[in-house]
Amino acid sequence: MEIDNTNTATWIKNRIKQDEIDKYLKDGEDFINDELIEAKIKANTKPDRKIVESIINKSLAINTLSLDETAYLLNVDDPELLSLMQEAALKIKKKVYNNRIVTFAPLYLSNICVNNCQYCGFRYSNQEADRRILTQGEVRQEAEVLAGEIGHKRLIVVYGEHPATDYEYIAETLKTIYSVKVPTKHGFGQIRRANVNAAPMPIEALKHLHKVGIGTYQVFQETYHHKTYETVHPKNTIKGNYKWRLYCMHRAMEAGVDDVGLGVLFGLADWKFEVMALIAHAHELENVFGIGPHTISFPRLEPAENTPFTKNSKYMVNNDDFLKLITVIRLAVPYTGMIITARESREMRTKSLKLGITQTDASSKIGIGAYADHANDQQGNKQQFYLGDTRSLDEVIGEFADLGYITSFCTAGYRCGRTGKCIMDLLKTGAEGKYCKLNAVLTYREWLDDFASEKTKESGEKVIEKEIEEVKNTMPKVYNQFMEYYKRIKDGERDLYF
Amino acid sequence: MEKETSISKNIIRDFNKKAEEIRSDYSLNLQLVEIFGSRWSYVAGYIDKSEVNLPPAKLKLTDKMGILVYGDIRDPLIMAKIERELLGLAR
Repeated sequence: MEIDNTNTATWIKNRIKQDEIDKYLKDGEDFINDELIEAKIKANTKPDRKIVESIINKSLAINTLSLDETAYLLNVDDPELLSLMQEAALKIKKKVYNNRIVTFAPLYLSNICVNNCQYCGFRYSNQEADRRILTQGEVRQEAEVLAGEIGHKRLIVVYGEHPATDYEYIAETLKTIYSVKVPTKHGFGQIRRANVNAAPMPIEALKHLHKVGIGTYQVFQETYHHKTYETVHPKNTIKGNYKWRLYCMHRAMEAGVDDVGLGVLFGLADWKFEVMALIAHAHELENVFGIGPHTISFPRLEPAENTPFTKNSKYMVNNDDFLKLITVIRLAVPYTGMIITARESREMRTKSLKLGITQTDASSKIGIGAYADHANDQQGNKQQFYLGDTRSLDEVIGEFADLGYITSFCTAGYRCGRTGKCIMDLLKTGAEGKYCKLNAVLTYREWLDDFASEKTKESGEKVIEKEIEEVKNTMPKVYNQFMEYYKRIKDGERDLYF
Repeated sequence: MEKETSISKNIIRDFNKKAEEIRSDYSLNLQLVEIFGSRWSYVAGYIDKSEVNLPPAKLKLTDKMGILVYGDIRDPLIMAKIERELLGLAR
């Protein structure tokens, strides 16, 4: 698609609506208090076992932790206490989301961007990047490969910030993606939930996106540390405005988009600070709207083509600290979905599963147009960064099955009212986990029949048998209906859900 | 601060009243949703926090507004009656 830059400067100038920041401020200040967060991290050192246990119990009862409690856990170094925290993290995940892991694929539709973030391969000053915006026809081709050849049903669709990929383009691409329906071995494949990772937008634009049925709206603050934010995001860019980004989820909620995803790019500032700020953001949304984040993501800075910053940051997070921060986030916001991506190595992804991860991607390609190109190698000049795990969906699902996890392609909740406040209530009481189990089995059946290799199918059948037995024993009220759906899916019907 | 919805407070109030009557008469629980493409977004009404339910019946009242009916929804006569009553909300 050709890029017209004629009106870009005007678009940038008019993008930020100051009144859509100011209305949320308290006494002119945003809700991230750097000094307070740093003080709490310093104050809550030398953790006591009894206090750690009582904090864990609060998490196990699916209550959000305070900043002091979060700081306390962040400072735990005793291996025995860490082990207690890790066990609790997995228990919480099972209580809230059951035994399932949701899988999705990233779909990058553009890499032109008006921003110039030091750590990003898509920054406008990177002359090595091969710029592209997919046409609607190309978007369709990508979705057809994802839904028809690989078997994905859920996407995170990613856009650079540019007038050519503003909300009108995003809305059209979502309509295109949702319209795809591809015949498969025994049924048909389609994308049932398209989540969006895009730049912060004004309320009117978000209302427009809400109308076309976006899934989760995901915007990462990258770093919550004010000074670091200023350093890595040049002031004369849209992204240079910290508060515009910080309050994008407030605007989303006001626009009616009540499934929002938060995240930090770990490696830009001190990781303990970032975890505390993430939790403060969750508190803010809970307090103001009564609805916390639907998901939290925690990507680590990865090498990117012609982007030296990604190799030189002094805040890179080592593997042990990374696993600890996952554990603490799981305990601090027990109801939230937690996403680990193929940025991470196979080993780290497998380890993180035991700490309460709920979603991950597979068969991932992050080059623009890479699925339809069937590109096997990573292409640095078309990617925002390099991936750490490029295994196929079949391989990942096979591994999960061998570890006893069921992969879920469930996208039921948002199609039957389990959104916003409703899903928050269900997550906090553990009721949603039961729906997760039922829908995991039904969608797993679909995928095994349509896409699995013989080897994966064999492992998958054992998992499904065990899950059905659990449904029989723990959910007798719905078991007959569930089995009726299961049999109909085996016979080729698709998209039956609870 | 509230999230925006195109469904007015009056409709929500009327829905809550009607939902209570239907619950009392037929032991069915209702949820009011706003429709955005395939997304049915919760607005008001029943949330069973304790256990899993059978799939609800979906009643589309307008392009933008729908009702989810939870409970024994096998009687088509009762369902038709409920639908007729609820359609009044959309007018």
